[in-house]
Amino acid sequence: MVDQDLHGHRILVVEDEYLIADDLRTALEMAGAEVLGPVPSVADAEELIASDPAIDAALLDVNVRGEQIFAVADRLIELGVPFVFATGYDQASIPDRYSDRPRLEKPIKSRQIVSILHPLLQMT
Amino acid sequence: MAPGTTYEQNLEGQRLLDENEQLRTALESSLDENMRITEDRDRLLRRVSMLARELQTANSAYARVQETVVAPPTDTDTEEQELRRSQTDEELRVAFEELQVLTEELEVANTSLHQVNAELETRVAERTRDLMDVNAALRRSEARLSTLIEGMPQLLWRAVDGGQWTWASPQWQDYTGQTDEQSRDIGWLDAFHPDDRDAARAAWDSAAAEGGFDFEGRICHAGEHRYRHFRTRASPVYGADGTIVEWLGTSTDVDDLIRLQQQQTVLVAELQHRTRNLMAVVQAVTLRTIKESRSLDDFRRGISDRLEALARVQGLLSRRDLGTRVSFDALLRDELSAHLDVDPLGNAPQVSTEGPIGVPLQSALVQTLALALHELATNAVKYGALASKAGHLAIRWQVLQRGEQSRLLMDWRETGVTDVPAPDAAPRGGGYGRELIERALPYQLGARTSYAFTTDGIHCTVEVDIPSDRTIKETADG
Repeated sequence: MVDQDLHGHRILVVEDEYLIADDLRTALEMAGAEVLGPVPSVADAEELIASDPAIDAALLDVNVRGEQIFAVADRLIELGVPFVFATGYDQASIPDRYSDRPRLEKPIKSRQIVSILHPLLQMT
Repeated sequence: MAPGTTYEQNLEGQRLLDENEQLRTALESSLDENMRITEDRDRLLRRVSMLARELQTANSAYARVQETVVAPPTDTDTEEQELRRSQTDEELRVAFEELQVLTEELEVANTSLHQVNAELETRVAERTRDLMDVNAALRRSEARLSTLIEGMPQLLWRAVDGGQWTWASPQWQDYTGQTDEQSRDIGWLDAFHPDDRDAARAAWDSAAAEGGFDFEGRICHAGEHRYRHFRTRASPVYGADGTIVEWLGTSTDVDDLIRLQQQQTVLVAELQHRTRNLMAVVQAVTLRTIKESRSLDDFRRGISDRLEALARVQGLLSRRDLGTRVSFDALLRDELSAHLDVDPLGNAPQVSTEGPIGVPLQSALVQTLALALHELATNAVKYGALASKAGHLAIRWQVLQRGEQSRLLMDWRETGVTDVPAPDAAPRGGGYGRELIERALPYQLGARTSYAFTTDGIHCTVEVDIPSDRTIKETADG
């Protein structure tokens, strides 16, 4: 196991289901990351990004509290922050402009989170 | 000719016109013949009168000679004059006979002409009646057709090559507010949504090659000032030489159908989302239960209870009709009856419930609230108010108005519990219920919650937004 792969990196988590968010936080912390959030809504995510822009990567649930996450995704693109979509939807519900962005299908395994985030963090 | 006049009706009309033409020709030749006979008779009459004048001249000359010549006329003179007179007499007699014959002939001809005329009149009258019948049938047929055309819900139109309209039905005019004149040529394009016009033109470009026009686009409803989706189709009408003479088209309102399809797509996506989310929740609950369990038996009991609670709430969520919501009393009754025997009002010997029925819950809240109630009830049965005969559980709820927003306030109070743990003791049952109430509900739904051990049992409150009447339509839950 590569438990410390994400050591020293600050990862934003946007996920509205508490139980899932809590699992994600646990998995990321076990991998050595510092978790920003988790936050349960688009508004909370935007607020957090505005107040603390030192974000290395983000894990974004596509649909939070009935809202789509794409405003947050676009803001992260402006800031040059890499992100991963976590989705319960089929691929078709994500607009084409994000076709080159990695995505994780729920339910997410903690091992997957590390292996998908690690290469993104090496590029920055 | 009106659109839709049948081929047979055209043929019948043509046949009657042809026959009338033949009758007219026959009549004209009969008149010519009559004219010819009349001319012959006139010619003869002129000749007879000339002969008569000659005879009279001859007679009077003869009389004058007898009067003026006292002396008896010489035989020679008299004989000569007598001869000339009898010749003229003879000529006149022949001419009279000829005239007689001609007059008889003329009478016969006139009689037959009268007959022919009478016959013709009868036949013309018959044919006129036939024509009137056919015309009446045509008019009835046209009336039926226009009833059909004007009564059908589709918008009808006719066009020539390239989509130049030549006619639009009253429905098209009513729906779009365009006059027939305005829709002509490519005026109809103005009724389409600006974003759909290029596609409509492109569909016409390929229509002749494909032998049909088929296009889906939005047409503006003049009355409602909004666009509705229409399926617009047309078929070519071919001439005898195989070329396209014109196009007959219909535009059918498919707006409701498309809206329903879109709704269905949203529902399917929503279902996908919920299913995957549920699996993620099951995964989290399982991991959590593993952490709490001291033995496999412990795990089996714990996971089985929690999965059953999740299954119950899925049942509630799926039983509700589209657009209606799960109510708090239904959720509470469902959860309590899994642990003890309750009456239809949700009461049991050691349990009292009190609050308005039918308070609607956001569906995002239902699952987490159900899990929280499940943990509270499980702990009450294992360690709290329902673990001994002395305890009592009272659940009360009400709806509060906070400005525009309605909120549900629930109060869960256990009393008569002697075995209350010390405030700093590790939570029994793993503290999952407490975590759900103190952290999950506020995180997911902005709920205000409290969870406390009083001297004789647990006291827990949950205050959370509920949908107001204005937000009947649910949005997808995260």
